[in-house]
Amino acid sequence: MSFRERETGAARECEVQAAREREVQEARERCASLVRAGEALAARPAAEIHAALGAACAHWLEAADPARRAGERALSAHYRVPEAAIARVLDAGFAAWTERALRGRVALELGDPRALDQFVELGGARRMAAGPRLGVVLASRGVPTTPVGDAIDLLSVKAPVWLKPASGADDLAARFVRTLTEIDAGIGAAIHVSAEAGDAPTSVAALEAAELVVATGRTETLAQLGPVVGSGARLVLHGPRLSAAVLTRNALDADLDRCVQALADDVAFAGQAGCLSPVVAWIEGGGSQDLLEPIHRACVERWPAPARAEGDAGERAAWAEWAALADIERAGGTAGGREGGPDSGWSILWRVGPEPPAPPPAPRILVLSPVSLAAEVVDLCARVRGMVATVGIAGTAAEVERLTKPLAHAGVERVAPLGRMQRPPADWRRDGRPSIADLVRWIDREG
Amino acid sequence: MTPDLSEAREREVATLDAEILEAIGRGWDDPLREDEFDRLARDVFAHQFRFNPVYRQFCLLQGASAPADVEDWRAIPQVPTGAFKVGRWATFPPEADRAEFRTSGTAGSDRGVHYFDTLGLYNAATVASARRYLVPDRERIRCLFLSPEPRRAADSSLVHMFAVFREAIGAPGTAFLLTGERGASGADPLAAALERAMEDGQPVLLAGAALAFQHALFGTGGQAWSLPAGSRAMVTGGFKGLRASADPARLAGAIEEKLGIAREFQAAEYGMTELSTQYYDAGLRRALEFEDPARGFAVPPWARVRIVEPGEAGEVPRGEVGAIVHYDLANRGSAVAVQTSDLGAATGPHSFELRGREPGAEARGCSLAADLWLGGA
Repeated sequence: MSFRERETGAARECEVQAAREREVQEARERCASLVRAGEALAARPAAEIHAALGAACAHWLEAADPARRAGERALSAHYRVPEAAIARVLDAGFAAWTERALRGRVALELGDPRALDQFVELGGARRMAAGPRLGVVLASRGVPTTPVGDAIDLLSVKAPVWLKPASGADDLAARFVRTLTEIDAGIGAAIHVSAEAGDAPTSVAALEAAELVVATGRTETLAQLGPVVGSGARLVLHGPRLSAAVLTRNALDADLDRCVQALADDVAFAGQAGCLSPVVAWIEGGGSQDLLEPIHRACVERWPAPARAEGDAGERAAWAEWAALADIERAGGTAGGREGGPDSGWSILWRVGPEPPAPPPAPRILVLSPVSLAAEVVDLCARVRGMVATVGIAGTAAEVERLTKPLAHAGVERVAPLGRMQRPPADWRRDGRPSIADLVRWIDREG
Repeated sequence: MTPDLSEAREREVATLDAEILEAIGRGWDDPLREDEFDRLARDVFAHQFRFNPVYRQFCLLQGASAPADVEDWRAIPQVPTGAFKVGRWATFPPEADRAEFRTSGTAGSDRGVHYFDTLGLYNAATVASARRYLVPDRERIRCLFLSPEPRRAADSSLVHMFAVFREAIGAPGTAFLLTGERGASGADPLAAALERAMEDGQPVLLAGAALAFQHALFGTGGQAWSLPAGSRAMVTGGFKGLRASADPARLAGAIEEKLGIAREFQAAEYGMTELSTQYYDAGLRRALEFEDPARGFAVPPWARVRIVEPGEAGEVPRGEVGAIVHYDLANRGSAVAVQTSDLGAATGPHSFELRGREPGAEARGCSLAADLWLGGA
């Protein structure tokens, strides 16, 4: 390398470094601006903020709302599914966040609806709850409305938010923020949806400024987050979760088609991208492999994802290995038939015996697993204790009642009617924990 | 297995193992010709077809009703790595087990098991590759393993590989450093071993998983060493998936900066519990001024790698991304053809590189964000 080349290279390096420093400075200023907006939020009544959040969500529930229409089109193109499939996801996602539900959640989790605004009598002292000075959300690439929910959680405790969607995620959060800003510019100023890469200097600056970080990820990854966040910042981590469905013999006998449709509602929601979509459905009494075809068809109807053969190389490879393994298991007598090949976006596999929930290696895979008695599913859940987010049950009221408490003892965090698994209320205890009580700190005033 | 069948199996094993050992022994000096590899691979396949009834059923489903139906090694029905998780995948009965290596597992997923009735083939393949790609310039070298001792990780194929290194290429001072204990002086075993190597002026081979390197190097604060000339590193794993957990470029920089081992003296190794053969990049070998045509991971003569269109039999053109399929003669007791969902691209007739994310890392649902964030994606 000549002297001139070295000199040019060094000059370029200096330019890159200077640009990086400018970006970091801008990010710090952005964080400072968010903190100021958060201080303004803190001075406002929580009810006002909840009303604005509820109003923004209500816009996204209106089929004719221009922002929603544009969002449906954009997400439809992003996920390569019809707008009707996206509409179902938006309807389910935004329905929970009404003004009333957000206010009720404060009362439920913080003990008093005024606790975010003033000192209130709680227990043995006067207490007030305060949101973090700045919250950073490392959002999940799962259900489109999930990052929106993470942001709503923080804003509803008057905290400003730096939201980092996962790489490759859709832009619903940014669209929602635009709606929110139109309704209430003050709240809009308190949220920034970052487009930068996760390890960009700007994102690192945000993490350093954060007082609280909400992150979703694999257990071993979350364990590594600690060193990269600022000292003193609290971490609220959401590890991996799975869900399962139970179809009792009574439910199947009473209305087989209804069971199939309800199961598909939950499985196919957002292409099975979220932790509330069942990965296994237990069929009491053995059932029949005849279920494979209608369930496959119902899933395709709800979320007609492109065929496997049209997926990216990673998904095609993962699915191909899974399909080969399914053939191995069939050869070994542990699996039965399979519906949905490379020409379909969905795959449904019949297992010969009871199977605990396990993360599928590729998206849009459902396992049907026969059990003799519905009660057997308790043990299957216990085998992956701490991993089961929701069990959806199609059964009589008495059957649901009999199963619920044992499932709770087996570590299951939520039991819901089949067909309603994707519609948790706003105060859903995600990961078995409160949704906003984990975000605030308390100030006690005694005497 | 009936006595007759057992005897038949043992006769076949003896014949096959002798041939495979000979192939490994010929190594790169007299590599197996294509027709020799083809014949031996199909013989191993026929053995597995005969003595693994589940595989036989699987082959029937794949349209191969007899070994003779497979006319080319490329057509051998591939066994997905998941098969090692769902049941015993071996051509021999449990009473013949001599070793078992387990895959790493994550919450909610089972661990795969690779059973061995002999470690002869595994060890031979391990030594042959290590000699060529880690120590082509010398008989032995002081090995410092960033791993627990073999007795504390008996089911780890990586730790076993290091144990084989110790016997075959280890010089005095070779040690396993993740003992969980501090020395008499209270010193960290790694720091003490590195200091000793510097005092002795003896080059070392520092070997371990990328994550082990990361923990070792980024946990040492500002401490750095300048290891004697000829020192080298072997880093395995962490090239896929969670990049921040072992960002290869960042890690290579840290190894250079903190240990004084230049990047060209750092060899990447790619192995899987489900295989008996390891792959090395040839950079270290070339840095030691030995020729090697491979770019990326070199495939030894007793193995083949095909990069295929996922779910289909056809190979993708050289340089394009596809799923990696391994053909490993040393996997005589399990699966000669192993299908993975790892992505790669061929870089030459006997070399490939990894591309994209580790499929296993692609956890579904609400679990991806922080992984991607840490990965900087």
